Amino acid sequence: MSAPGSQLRGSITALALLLVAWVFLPAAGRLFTRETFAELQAPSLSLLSRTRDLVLTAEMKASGAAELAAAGRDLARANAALELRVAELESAASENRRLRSMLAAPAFPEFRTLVARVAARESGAWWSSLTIRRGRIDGVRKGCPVVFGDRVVGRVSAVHVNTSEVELVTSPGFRCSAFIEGDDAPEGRRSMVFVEGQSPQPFASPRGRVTYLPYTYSPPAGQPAKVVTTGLGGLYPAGLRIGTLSPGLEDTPGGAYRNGVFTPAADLLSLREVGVLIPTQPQPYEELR
Amino acid sequence: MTPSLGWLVALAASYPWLLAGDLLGDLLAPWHLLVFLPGLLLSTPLLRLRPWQALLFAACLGLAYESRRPLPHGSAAFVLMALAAVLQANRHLLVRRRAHLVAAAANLAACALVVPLASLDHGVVGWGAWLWALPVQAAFAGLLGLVLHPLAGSFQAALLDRAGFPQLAEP
Amino acid sequence: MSGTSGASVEKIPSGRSHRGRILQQAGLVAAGVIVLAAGLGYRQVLQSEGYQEQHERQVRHATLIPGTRGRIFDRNGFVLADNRVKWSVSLDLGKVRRAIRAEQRRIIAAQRLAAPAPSLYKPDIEQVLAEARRLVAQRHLDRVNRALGEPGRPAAFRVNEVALARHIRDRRPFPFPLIPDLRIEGEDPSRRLARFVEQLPTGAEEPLSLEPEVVRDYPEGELAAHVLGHVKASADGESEDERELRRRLAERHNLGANSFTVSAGHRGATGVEQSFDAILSGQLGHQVWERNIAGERQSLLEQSPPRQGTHINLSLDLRVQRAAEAALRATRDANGVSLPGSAALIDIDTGEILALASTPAFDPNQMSGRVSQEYYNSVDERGGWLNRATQGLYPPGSTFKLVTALAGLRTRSVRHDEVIDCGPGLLVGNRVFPEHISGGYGPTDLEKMLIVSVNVWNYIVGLRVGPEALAAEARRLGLAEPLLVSAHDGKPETSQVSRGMVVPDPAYKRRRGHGPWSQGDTANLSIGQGYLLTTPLHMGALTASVAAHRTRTNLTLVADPGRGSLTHGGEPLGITAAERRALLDGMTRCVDEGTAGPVAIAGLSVAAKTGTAEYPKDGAKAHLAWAVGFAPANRPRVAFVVCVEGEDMTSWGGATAGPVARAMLAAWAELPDGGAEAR
Repeated sequence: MSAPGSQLRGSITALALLLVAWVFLPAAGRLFTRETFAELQAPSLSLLSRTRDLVLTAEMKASGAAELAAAGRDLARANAALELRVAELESAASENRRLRSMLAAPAFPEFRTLVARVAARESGAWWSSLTIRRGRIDGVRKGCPVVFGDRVVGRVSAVHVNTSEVELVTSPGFRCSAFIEGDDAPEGRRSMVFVEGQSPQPFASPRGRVTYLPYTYSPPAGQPAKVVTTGLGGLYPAGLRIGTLSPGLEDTPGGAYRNGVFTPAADLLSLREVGVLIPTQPQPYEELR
Repeated sequence: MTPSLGWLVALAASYPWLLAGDLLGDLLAPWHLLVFLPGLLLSTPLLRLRPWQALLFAACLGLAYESRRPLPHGSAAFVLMALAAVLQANRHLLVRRRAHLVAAAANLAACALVVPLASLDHGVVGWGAWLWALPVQAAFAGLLGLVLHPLAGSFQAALLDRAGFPQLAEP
Repeated sequence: MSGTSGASVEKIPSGRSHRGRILQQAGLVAAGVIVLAAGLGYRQVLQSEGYQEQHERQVRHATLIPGTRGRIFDRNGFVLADNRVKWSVSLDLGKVRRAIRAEQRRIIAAQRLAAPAPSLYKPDIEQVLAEARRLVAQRHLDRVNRALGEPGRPAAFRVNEVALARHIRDRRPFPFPLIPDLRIEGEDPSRRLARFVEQLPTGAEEPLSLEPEVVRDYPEGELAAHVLGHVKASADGESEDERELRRRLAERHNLGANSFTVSAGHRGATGVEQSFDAILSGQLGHQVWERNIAGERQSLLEQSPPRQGTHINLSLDLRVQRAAEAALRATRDANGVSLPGSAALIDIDTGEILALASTPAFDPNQMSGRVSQEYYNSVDERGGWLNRATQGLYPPGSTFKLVTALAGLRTRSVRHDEVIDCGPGLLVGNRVFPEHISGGYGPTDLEKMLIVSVNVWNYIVGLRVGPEALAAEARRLGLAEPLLVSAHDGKPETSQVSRGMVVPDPAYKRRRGHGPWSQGDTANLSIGQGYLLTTPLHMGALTASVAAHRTRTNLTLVADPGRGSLTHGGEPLGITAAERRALLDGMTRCVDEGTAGPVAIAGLSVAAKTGTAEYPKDGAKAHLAWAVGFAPANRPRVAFVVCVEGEDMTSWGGATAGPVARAMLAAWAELPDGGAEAR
């Protein structure tokens, strides 16, 4: 081996050559390496997540019989209340279907829900990401919306065989249409706003932007206004909560509309489980991204 | 084991630490702290690998790190390869008592170089983030390096020793 | 631990050489890192050439933001001109430059292969480039089509080649609007917008974007188009305010001419939009930004928000205006041909114009953006640009007999009860001036003259009065003066001012080189023919003045609650009560039993005078159908004028113009504050 200096020179030269080769490597080649590394890591991530689940289960198993009995009783009560709700909702749904068929209104895309565990998560000043333990073999497709209960989490940004990456509702590049609570206009004339993620702010909770609020809009007094999905764009069903509008709206230059900031409805930093909504019919966004 | 597989063994010895980093990152998500470890995992295997193996190892480490993150593809790999090349040429720094400091510094430098590249893929981050978030993130990476290097380094060294990759002699 | 495991076999260099080498290596490392960063950056730059352009831009940048225009309402607050956000889907041509080049190479290669002699083939670069651009634009538009449609059923937008070529020529640096307006008549645009934002990706490399633009919206379409006028996109530096602001900002921030962006704004081009532009357009706002290296806005150095313009209430009443326009559009001649025309309804007390209609008209919505040549031509062909009510110059025909009668009474040349024997014609000089029926009307007084519009009575009275006095009376009643200078906050409304009226007298004829004045000219003038030219609105104002027993009516297009106590200027009409009674009775009976029969409305007494004037149309003689009058006859509150241009000699004042007047009066009578209580 030669002197360290010349060795460094050699390495740097090699590196520069590799870099040039990399830049001119066809996109497919680069995609291949990226996919390969994602796939190689998937089992270990999965293993890690499962181990954590196991630990959690073990922890729960350690709880005493009295504790379990109490929890079971609480659940039974909650269950009874929920069953009542389900019955109500079912009748509402059938009424809804009847009205819809009377109006010959287009049906929203139907979704199949897939429950997925969160395998890894990161939230730095520079990016936030979520890896879920469901992938191509479970039927997850790129662009599928991700929810937690009736709250919007984000959408699938990359799909691997066993895992997927989720782009959060606050990530730059996320965009969807929404209605705002407190917009007094009648149903058909409510003004639609756009919701989009924004560049992350250092060490702050992730937040997104609400744009094109009507100039006449003023938030309801006393409580933050909810931002909900419209169901018009084909990405989300209607009525899911995206977040709440933070106080303080900013007028756009020209004064034709206003912009605001929202806090996501789902606690993106402590989610353990999410639902992936897979449209039964493929949507255009799956090919257009 | 065939000498040419040294980089793979080194990777196997380093990957659990990357995973541990992910786990820690998950726990620290509410504090918005990035757990960045690839830089500190470089130094120990470098003493046992040939230059080309060291570069390959660094590249794989980088690709593994960036594959799930919104980083331009290849960015972490090339940053780590550059660091590996530099460390390779200054191996004497890695065997002295200040080795932990060097590893921490390497991790700090790697973090400071890799993380801003996210803005290329992920939208431009405001000046505020450049001015103070980057130093904080990098300092945290350095601290992690200082705390974890003794553990991670000895783990890697032990595994590589067992697989038959002793520390190379200095010319 | 790594440092202690294994034997330490290194040889530690010492002294200066060691430090020197470290420095040398540090330099190398720095160089390496630079290469690395440059390499990674390069890939990004390759993918979006826009980055490079952004680097070159000024660090400081000013944006001028026009205020939203004020709205225009009718007198009751119904919206005539509004603003709406227009969404367009735009394609950033800079981001598809590489795709266009690739397409161009592909086309050339294909053409070369197809050419009879490939080696001699010479591509038409311009044409190939245009085709390549179209193909790439269509490719992206197809993505939009897929996004907007349901799965499997894409929308069917096509690239407008002409618009694309024009865009490349005039507005190359700006994104090209693939779909200029996402709104489609009768459909809620929300669905399209929602599908666009949710189905298509965002990001620095995505060439498709959704661009909002605040545009003028005229919810009533063609209604009152001539009064409202239209807006046009404002050119840079058009207004004094803008030039001043630019100068001030350039000085303060050391900005070059190309460090300014002006957001799309509009200026009034015609009508009220133009004459009240300063009021409607509000105040220009601005922002001065410091940009970062990527061209993104970093910090706001200075700003002042734009202010929306003031809203304006016009004096028009939407319902009367609608009725007037509908009736005018329904006007047909004997052959069923739709006739151009104009009409106005004036509040006699205040001079407020309740309706001012002119057909054919144009749709101001079509005029606010880039106007298509086809639309311009089609309106031009129909003669739709002219506001016939204020700018149309016509001989007033028999409606002028009111002036002749007033001149006769005021000069004591005729008494209101004087009976003149009127034969089938009158010999003036060596020419016979005919009556409009064969046989003549026989003995005629003022009232009978007004009922059946006796020509001979006017010839005789006109000759008695003489041309000077006749012209003086016409001038006294304002026929030679510009009309309609209403004001809002002290700013005059000037767009509707009429020009070119002619009240002839001997001096005028000499001046124009038509020779000396003859008795025949006087006879012609007395029945509103000859050189006499006036506008329908002048005749409307004159009728309002006569009804209110004054010589002037100060017209306005702006609603003003304080106008009730307005003095209109001029002087009292100067006729006795008995003469006035005869005049009003004549006009009232004209509706009940005379030529103005078609104006009659049950339950409302109307006084009117019709006219059928001859004017040259396309080289031949044709009839102009006139009707003027007021209602209620006993206590006049509104005056009207209608003038319809006939195609030939088959249109008549009563039959053609009468129904339009009746429609306006009926609409007015329906108003809660209008004729309802007057009935």
